[in-house]
Amino acid sequence: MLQETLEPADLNLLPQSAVTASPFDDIAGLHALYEPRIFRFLLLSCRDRDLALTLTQDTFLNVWRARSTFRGDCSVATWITRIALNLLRSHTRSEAFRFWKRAANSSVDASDLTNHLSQSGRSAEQHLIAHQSLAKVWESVEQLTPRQRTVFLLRFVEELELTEIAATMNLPLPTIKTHLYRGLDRIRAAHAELTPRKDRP
Amino acid sequence: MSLSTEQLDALLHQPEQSSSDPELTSLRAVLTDLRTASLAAANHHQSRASIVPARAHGALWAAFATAAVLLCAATPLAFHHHPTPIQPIAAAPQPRPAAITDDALFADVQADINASVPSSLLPLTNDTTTSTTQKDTQ
Repeated sequence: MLQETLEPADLNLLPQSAVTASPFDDIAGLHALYEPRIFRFLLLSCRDRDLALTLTQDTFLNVWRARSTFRGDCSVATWITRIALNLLRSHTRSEAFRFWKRAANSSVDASDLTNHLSQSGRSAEQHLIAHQSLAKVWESVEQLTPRQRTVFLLRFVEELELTEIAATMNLPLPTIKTHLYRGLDRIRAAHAELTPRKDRP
Repeated sequence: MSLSTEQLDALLHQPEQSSSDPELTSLRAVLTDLRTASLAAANHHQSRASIVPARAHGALWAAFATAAVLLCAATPLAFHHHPTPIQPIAAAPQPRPAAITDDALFADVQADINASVPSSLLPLTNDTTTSTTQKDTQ
């Protein structure tokens, strides 16, 4: 006797949810998970809170629009960071950005960062030295080239692996290493100016 | 003097390990501080940004309320204004033609018929003809 209705299993079909499952189905969850990280990266890169907020919003808007182009050849985090980086590049290329960067009152300077330095386990003198060192390093990060700065931030703030950084920036791994070594060397030189002579080898 | 490749590798790949090199240890400590402070600063800015729109909305509502009050105050004044009525321009009285009776019209026609022919319409006289002939013979 024939069945009146056909079940999906009869047609050897997977459930619809299993076929179309995508990391972008829960865009709200994705946003909640990655927004702090993307905002942090953009804030430290452009040093402007308002601009970082705008670019973060644009990043997730572009993620939603381009979700169908995600092929899964890298992690979602890498893909989102790449979109954020592209937005940042296209924005900072414009002349208007340079003007507004000068005029912006929402810029993040060294004092913004050093005010958030933890004092736990340090004496007052050690805290003062750490305060000065951090300010010096933060200034030297600003002096890096954009690529050196991006690699540095992705490695030492976001703690990405070098292969992930290469995938994010769409550059070969040796190039990433070169940028990182050069950037780190400049930061070391700036930091060494504050280090007492007796500590040096 | 630059860091050696070994030192850079140590920074990159063994961030948590202590080193006998004081400069390397110091640099590693600063980089750790940088990360910690960056996370805290970004959290602070993000939480502050979520507060700012509420203030901005408050300011926006205050601006709208002020504008509405000003509009309400200005509206009665606008309606209270009475423009001076425009006086209609009186048309200049046209002189009405006098009524012409049929008898008067007939009398005028008769007068015209009986009138003498104007001098300009009179036929040419012979004097003019002879003078012209004399001029031709000369």
